[in-house]
Amino acid sequence: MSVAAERPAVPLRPPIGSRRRASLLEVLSSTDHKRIGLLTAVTAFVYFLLGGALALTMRSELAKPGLQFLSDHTYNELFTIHGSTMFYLFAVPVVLGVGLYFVPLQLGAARIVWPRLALGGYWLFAAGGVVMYSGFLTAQGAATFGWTAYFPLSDSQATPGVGTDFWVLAVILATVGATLQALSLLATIVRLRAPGMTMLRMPLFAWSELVTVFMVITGFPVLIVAMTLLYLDRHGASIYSSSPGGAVTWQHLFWFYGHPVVYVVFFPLVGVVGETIATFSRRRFFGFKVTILSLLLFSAISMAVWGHHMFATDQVANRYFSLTSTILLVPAGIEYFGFLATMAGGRIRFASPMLFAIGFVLLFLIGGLTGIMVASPPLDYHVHDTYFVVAHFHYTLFGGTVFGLFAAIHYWFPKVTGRLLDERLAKASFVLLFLGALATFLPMFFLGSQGMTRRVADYLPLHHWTALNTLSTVGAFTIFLGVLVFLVNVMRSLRLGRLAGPDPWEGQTLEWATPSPPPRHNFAALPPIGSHTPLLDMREKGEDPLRDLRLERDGTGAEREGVGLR
Amino acid sequence: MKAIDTRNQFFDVWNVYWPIALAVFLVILGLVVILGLRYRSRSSEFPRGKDEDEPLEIGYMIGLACVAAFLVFLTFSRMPGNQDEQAKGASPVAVTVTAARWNWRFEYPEFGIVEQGTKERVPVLRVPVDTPVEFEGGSLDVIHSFWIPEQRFKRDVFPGFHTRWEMVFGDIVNSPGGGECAEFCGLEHAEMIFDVLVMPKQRFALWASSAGGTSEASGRSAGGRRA
Repeated sequence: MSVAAERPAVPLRPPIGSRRRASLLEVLSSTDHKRIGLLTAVTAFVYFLLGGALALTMRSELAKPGLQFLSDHTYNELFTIHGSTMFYLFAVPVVLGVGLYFVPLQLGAARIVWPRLALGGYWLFAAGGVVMYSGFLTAQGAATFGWTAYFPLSDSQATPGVGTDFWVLAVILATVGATLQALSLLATIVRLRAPGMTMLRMPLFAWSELVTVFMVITGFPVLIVAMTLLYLDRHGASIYSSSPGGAVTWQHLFWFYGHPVVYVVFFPLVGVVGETIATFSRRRFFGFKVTILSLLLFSAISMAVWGHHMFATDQVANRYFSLTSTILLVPAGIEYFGFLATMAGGRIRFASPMLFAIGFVLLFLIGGLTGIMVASPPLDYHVHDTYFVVAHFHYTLFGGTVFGLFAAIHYWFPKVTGRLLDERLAKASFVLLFLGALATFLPMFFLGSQGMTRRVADYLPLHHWTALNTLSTVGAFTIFLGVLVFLVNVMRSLRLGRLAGPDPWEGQTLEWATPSPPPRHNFAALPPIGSHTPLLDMREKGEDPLRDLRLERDGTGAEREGVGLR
Repeated sequence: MKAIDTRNQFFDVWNVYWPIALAVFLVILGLVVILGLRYRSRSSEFPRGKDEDEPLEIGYMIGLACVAAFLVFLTFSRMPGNQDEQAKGASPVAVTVTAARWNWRFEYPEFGIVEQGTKERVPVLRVPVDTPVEFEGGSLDVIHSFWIPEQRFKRDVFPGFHTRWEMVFGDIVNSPGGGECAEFCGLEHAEMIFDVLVMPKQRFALWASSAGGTSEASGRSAGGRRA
């Protein structure tokens, strides 16, 4: 049972469905950071569902050897658009969308800097997705060279077609959009912190978004330029094709973006999970300062590890990139120390956000530990470009990003909608997703080390890979069920969920010191900010951080207008 | 020291890495379970306790750095330099690998042998056992990757320039489909395979002297590529 039932909730009218719906135009043109953030995150989630549908189709094909119902060409389109969707259209936008919604709230800000820039960023990203998927409607279909677009496979001879050009343009659109949103977020963090909110009083999530933004503005412009040059090369300019080294140049440019981006889609969730664990352990995150330091260290080193994607080319300094990549275990280990040390000595409640946070801790760990393996060239020479690597990065991206996102959704859903998700459905979806993640991706480690390469629609029965592949496919459908239960829960709770009140979890940070959903300008009054957990400080002193909210309500009888998606 | 046996190189590192990884996983899993059970509570108290412990954290950080140093040292020690580790005894065999969508060609310049895969025939890579094989690889179109899973090694081959690598095959094996292209290269990437035949030294020498100039007709029919 949720803690909300045990305390008198602040009496607020149902925030959703009680007021006039905003028109589509209002939603799409609002400069309210909450609308921009929510719009970005929800759109990204729709792309997540699309990308997941592509994955299910591929897993169905791979359940048995032989080509069942897909052609090689269709399969190549599917894995290309699956990977591209999950990075360019889901993971990157969703962490920025969640950041645009919650960072200003955590900083006590009323708005963001450059809201129109962030809104324009949303339009570019959303349009990029439409452009990418419209590739399926063209004569030669969508792009077929993988989300990495390795040159010269991506040149106009090896992969012709207007759908492929669409893909290049779509990636540029989405990446420019993400960069604009990141700039807005950076400026907001620098300029709009509430009085008293010094840098070291920013909550962990806000810090993790700040560090993320550093990587976005360093790495993303490189991809935008590299993709633009690819587009020109495909249309007659000799850029990469002018020398035999062009193929290697492309890999350098791509991974200079491509490695930081995997931390871009991971760091904000470290922040979410850290805050979730702290809140549901009823204490501060252990080792806050050292964790901030580790995030900064992590992001700095992450700009110097891209070459570990190129060990098998023999064209990079393998020892250097092996060293930098292995060192990442130090900041990662510090973060894990914080997660566990916060639980130790806490008063832990296993509500659904906490379960997803623990799912993140365990599943990402598999990705992290195997990540240290592939940082060693003698191991990577074998497992590179195989299902071993596919398993590794799905534990970081599914175990990390998706479980972290689900922790964030279950944690902040009451803040955004004013209603609580149903705990029983939430726990059911957690169990399905967790078991699904194990069943889908663990077999891939064995398949990869036994010789199954990634990006193949088919495999020979003589390799005896059928059982493992079938298990993986069963796992994928388990994940599908988990997502389905989650969607039912969201739909149901939007209308029927219990009212959350401003602070159902006894949160520690400022977003909980305002009604749910927050009014247009976020706060009527701010509590004193003396640390990164201002609400917890007050509660420990026996003060009620929501007192002003209650007084305001009692005094005037009027409610403040809430802002949701509709 | 022997020439680069890629399997030893892999297992020397692998046999240390995976037990450490498994141990770390089990320790953290155990801690999550133990802490979860021990501190599970419905209490509305806010526990009083330290929120940081800098000496402990710094000590832990140093410990982590030592682990990283150990792993890096192990990895580096199993990465021989390119030139300094020549095989003793057997003189190396040179093989030129040419990849093109979606097949392989193996040339033995010393013997004038060309082994060419076709749509109908899976090419066979024949190598002598316990002898360093010096590969020089290139591509005619896009990037491919020469991978022999049994040898725990792959190397990318590029259009326009050559990459070089050396392997030693330790066991006599006949491995159909034992080699594959690991770098996605387009439509028939999944079918871009080759067979690996590791032969006793004398038999290899016999084959090399008799098969000069032609590719042997013993290659398997490509009908078996796809089920």
